[in-house]
Amino acid sequence: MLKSSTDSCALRPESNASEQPPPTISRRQFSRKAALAAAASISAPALLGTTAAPSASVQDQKGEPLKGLTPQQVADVDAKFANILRKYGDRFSDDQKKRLRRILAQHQRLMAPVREFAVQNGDPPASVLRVSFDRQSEHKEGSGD
Amino acid sequence: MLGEDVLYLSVRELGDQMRARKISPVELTESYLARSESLGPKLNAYATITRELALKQARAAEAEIAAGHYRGPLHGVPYGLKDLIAVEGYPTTWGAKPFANRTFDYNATIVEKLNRAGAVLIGKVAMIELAGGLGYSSAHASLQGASKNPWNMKYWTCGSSSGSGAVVSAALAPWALGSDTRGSTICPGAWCGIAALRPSFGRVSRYGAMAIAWSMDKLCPMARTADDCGLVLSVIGGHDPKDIDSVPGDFRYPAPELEPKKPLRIGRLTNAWNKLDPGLDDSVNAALKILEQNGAHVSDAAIPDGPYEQVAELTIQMEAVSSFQDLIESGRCFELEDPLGKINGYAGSEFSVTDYLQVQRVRTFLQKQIDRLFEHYDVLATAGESSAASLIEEVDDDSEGPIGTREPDGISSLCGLPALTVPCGFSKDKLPFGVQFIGRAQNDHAVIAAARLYQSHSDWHEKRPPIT
Repeated sequence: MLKSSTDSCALRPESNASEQPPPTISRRQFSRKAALAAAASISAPALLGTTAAPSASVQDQKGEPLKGLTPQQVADVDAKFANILRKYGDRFSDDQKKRLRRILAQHQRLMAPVREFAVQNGDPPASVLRVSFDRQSEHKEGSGD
Repeated sequence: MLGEDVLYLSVRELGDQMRARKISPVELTESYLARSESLGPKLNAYATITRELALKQARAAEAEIAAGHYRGPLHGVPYGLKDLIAVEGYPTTWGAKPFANRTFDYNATIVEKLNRAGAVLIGKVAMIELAGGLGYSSAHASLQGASKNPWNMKYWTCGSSSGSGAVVSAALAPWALGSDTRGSTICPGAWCGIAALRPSFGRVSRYGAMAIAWSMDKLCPMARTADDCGLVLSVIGGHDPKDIDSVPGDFRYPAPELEPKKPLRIGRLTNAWNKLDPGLDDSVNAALKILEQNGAHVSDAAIPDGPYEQVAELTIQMEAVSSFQDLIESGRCFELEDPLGKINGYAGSEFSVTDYLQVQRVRTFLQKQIDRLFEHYDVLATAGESSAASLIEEVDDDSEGPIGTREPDGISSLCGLPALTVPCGFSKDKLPFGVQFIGRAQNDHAVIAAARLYQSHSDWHEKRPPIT
């Protein structure tokens, strides 16, 4: 977890959702949750190639329950897992599928503190477009000078 | 053939002797070639030994020096090149089976610079497959096999510049080029008991080098001394319009006027690493004591809180998926050696654009935060790695485990900071320890100055591994 900083230019204070839960769900949150829920609900049986009595075989492919994740994070993992299997499912062994899902869970753990980090509208990413090129050198290179 | 006493000389010493015509570039090259062909296979140090090219370049250097045309400190000096850098007409395997037979028809910028400097390419050096770009969990994840540590061949050299560490440590060449996205040069440097410099991001052109993470990849000199690293950087550094992240200007060395004013201010990191090997902390403190006795000001410093390690790891994974998209989509990643490397890219493909941008926006804050530390220090100091070398058979699969939040390689790589490790002692198993100095972005001179000051008052870098 991040500590609040004494320097106003340093880390922005976190949005402390646990202390002040939003009274209503935002449109963006709703869209995200809805998409995850939809993906999770259609993904497991349909995308793992099982249509009837899916629970046993789905669980076999998914492996052990994921520890330390919120239900929303687990749903996100399973939506992504299903998407990978939809596109590339025949490439993986059962063990690889289980490991893949554990890696996706690890991504959730990595992303959690980053998602919690509050950024404002104008805060730019570290990767920015450079609009100043060394045109002279490139021209020389291209023209064989 | 020249003996070990010559082959273990520094780049500066070799250059001085060649300039004075006391050593023949051809004889030196033949001696390193013979040692490389004898010890190289035992250490799994090389991908390709470029004997014909080396001798051709050595003969040219010898003729030029004899004619009074001395090109500079690398003229006639052999070196090894990590096998992710394009050399026209020679295999460039990236350490990975899918590229085992691939050659490029052009030279990387760095190779062109070294050719102009009259340097002698001994060979393409072994590495971890794709430099670990799609993840790896063991020393064996390499087309060339696990590189063995010259200090004890049951132990690994670390990766991904695994062969570069072995080559310099065993004096198969006086210096080698490695690369570093997050720790791939500093760790082999520390574990092999040599000097390894990760320059500031953008200092060295990467045109013609394999990309993992564009915003974090660096090419790095590994040598016997910090001074040698500076000499090499003065040749390979400098602006290149072919690399969009290349910073303006050249890198001059030596340049006393660009070094920190005395006394050197060193911040001893008190909260780096989760756990250090027994004895390593003592060795680092002893190194800092030596620096203090020789005029440096040493005081405690702390890495600020922040998700540095997470942002570093995520940046690499997200950018690597794009770098190796063809390999992932074609399924050829399943030809990789490492079980993790076969599948990791598919998981990484599921990151969203929003996730990537959030990671990069947080990164901006972290960069500013770490930069402010350098208002009080010229360099930060800590162990080069958290332990001495690990056994080759030890599997280190941390892809699903907890992640450390204050590992200096993640923090400094993420923020493009220069770092330099030099040897500072040995473990109880007689394996090298390293102390690293981390500088402000673009202040490569500070880390070289700090490490050079330490090496001028210590002799760990003169120890030789028990390999013959």
